[in-house]
Amino acid sequence: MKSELKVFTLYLILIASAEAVTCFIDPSYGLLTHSAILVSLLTLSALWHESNPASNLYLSLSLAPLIRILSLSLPLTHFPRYAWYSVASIPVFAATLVAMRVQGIRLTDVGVAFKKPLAQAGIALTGIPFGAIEYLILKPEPLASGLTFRELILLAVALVFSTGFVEELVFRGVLQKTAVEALGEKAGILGITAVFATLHIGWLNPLDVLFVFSIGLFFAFLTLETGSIVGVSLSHGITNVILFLLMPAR
Amino acid sequence: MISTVTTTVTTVATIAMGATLGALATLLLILLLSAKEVSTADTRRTLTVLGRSLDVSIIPLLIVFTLIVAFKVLEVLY
Repeated sequence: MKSELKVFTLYLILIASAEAVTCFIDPSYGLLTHSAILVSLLTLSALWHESNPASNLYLSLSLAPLIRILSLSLPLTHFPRYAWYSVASIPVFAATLVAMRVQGIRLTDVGVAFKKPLAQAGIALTGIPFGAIEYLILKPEPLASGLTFRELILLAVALVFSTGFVEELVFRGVLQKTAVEALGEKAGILGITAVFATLHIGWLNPLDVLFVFSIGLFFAFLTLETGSIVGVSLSHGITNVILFLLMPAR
Repeated sequence: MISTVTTTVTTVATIAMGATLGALATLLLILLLSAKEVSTADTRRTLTVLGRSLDVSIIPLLIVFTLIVAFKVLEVLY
């Protein structure tokens, strides 16, 4: 096994452990564990900046513990429930843009480009069955109730941007690009999909983790094939619109 | 203690826990800002790179800190 892959696997285990601590033991200990992982990844990335090609991967991977630190510390309870995803996406989006700037990555490098529009539209539609299946697995509470049609549309658009685009920019964009460059196509895709699934441990539903892993692999493959994250972002967003807005309101 | 954990959204069940987590994130921000100050004062390449990399976590944590402070001020005023 390549040394980069060994180090990546170690961090994957550490992130999964920190998620387990957050969900099953105490969120404060979880935040401390994630903070230690974050500092260690940033330090490792700087130390290996000139000698190791995986340096960029470790810098990008720091977004994973950072997402949990940000989501734990944001004062979300002050906001209405329907605004949580939009508010949480702002610092994550900022972190992603800074990570891209530091590494000299442009938006087009991470698939923010309208390539093969018909294929992207087809990919976007996969969000409908995915949302319905995930609803059957999780049965979440509705994100909002008693909304007018106009409010529902606005919330759906916000959800597509904040969960679909921002999460896909992080995982299928920045993380996948740096992981494939450092670890190769197979290991890179599998590794980042595992990180993505790990961050879903909090639903406390092993079937959902497995489902998210499968969807993650599907999205990763499509991003690689089309060179764009537009379709998968829309699909991810539509999945969440169906999961949190449409199915629970039936 | 935890009521919701998804990819980007986590909420805790008690206000006290929320305050503790906010305080821990602020401590982390102070630590990272100090590390940036120290690393950018040096001309060695590794430390310069570290100083730039730290922005990845400093900027979003500053956004969180601003929100925490804004809500605290609003709580005091109203």
